[in-house]
Amino acid sequence: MQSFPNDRRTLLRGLAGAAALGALGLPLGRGRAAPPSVVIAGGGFAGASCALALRQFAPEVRVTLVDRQPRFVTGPFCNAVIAGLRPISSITQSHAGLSAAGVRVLHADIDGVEPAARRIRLADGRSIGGDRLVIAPGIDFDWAAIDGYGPGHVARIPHAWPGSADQLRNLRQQLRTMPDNGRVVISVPDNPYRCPPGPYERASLIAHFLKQHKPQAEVLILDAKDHFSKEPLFRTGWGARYGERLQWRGGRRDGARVVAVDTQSRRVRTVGGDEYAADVLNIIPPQRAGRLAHDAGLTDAAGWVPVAAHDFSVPGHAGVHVIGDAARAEPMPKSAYAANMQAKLCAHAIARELAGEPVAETRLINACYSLVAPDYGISITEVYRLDGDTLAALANAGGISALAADRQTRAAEADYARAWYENIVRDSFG
Amino acid sequence: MAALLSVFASAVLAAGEGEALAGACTACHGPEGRSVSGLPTLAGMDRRRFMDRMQAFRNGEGTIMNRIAPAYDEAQTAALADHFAALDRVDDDRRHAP
Repeated sequence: MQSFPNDRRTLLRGLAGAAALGALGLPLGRGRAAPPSVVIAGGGFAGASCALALRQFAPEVRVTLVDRQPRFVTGPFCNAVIAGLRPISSITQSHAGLSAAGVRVLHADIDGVEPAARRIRLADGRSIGGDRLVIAPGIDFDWAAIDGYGPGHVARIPHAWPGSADQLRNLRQQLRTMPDNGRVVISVPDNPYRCPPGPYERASLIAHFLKQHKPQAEVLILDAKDHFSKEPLFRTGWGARYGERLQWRGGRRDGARVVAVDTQSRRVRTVGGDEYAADVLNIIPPQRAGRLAHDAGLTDAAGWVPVAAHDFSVPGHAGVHVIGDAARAEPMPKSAYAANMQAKLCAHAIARELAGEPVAETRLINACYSLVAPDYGISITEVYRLDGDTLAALANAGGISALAADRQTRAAEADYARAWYENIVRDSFG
Repeated sequence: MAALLSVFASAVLAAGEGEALAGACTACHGPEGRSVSGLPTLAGMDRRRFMDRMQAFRNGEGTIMNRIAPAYDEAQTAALADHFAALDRVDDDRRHAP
């Protein structure tokens, strides 16, 4: 039995929830001595949001969250850190807000998850189980995809996606010290991967840095794809702000998918046989669901976890849910926003199911801002509804920022992007 | 009796629906609709004002809400308006925190 902080609001909500359940004639905790419990593996946007939402929607439920690291460096705004626009501390989140909300937070290495037992196995031999197991493992990289590039090379050739604070600092430092007439090469994978517009924002903000500090230098994107997120907006912005300084070569059109890296000389080779030399090389490798999901046998042939969208449960694994980047939730992208949405939907569904109530109809949103420059913001948004066990984007909503917009509008969207960040981290981490 | 039951059922559903729907708003507008940044706070917003703003967005106002508001019908908008109108603009616990 664990105790929660005697936060007045939590206590009142707990009493109200218990009274409501009693009034409906439902047995509290299904007649057992202990209240229902949920264990969550992973404390990024998905796991943290789910823990907070469970405390809100089901105060009687005991929530335990396990993550190996006490500090979480967010993907959102990591490109601003790389470009020197904000300190890394401003994108580093802790789990203190979760603890304050009554979540039992454990920082420990996870050996694995056991779906059949709904249990998290820790590296120190302990196991933590619950009535529900929520797995939010994020992504892992497919290190076999690019010849010559592996986890041992990230110090010299960072992926910074976003990886550790060290990787972001490293890429930042390499940009600072590169030759004044040098070249930055960014390798971008095919879909799906974490944060579809992220690589293009990264290229934009690096170009912004170079324009100010190394005006002879350039950025080259080598893309495995022929088209990309917010493409017309990025191209408009690049034309207006960076000209020849920022160049893009596409997958099938130019054969630009990177297949091999020489880490010593910082040269890359593409599938089309072209070779490019870089002074700063940023390889964003192809991705798949995080190790925990993969090792537990929950992934499909493509490396992601199929889920039933009404509660993000894993078909064939009773009481097990997978949320965030690791889940197959198309047409939703893999984004912090999507993870936050899926976490709340999952938490709400768990709360209703544990209370014996039907799952409510809802809407999910993805809203994603990118910075072309510090004063030039663009966005894309979609709204989704549940269509049985899948998600469908609503045709009468969503879309990208206006292609023709004045300076004030772009500046306003850049401000909204920064304001959005402040709110989503509070909404996700407390 | 059947009519009474269905009224009761829809009221219960609507309450749950407002809470579930509101989760989509707070990622931008802050926990429980209490913004900590320059974006508008929704908690405690007058019900009428909420409905009017959503209608204005559906009519094309705004930079991003014009792309989001059309996804919500009148009943869903009303459920959201009720949900946020019932919340304190400032979190009571935080206001009284030492």
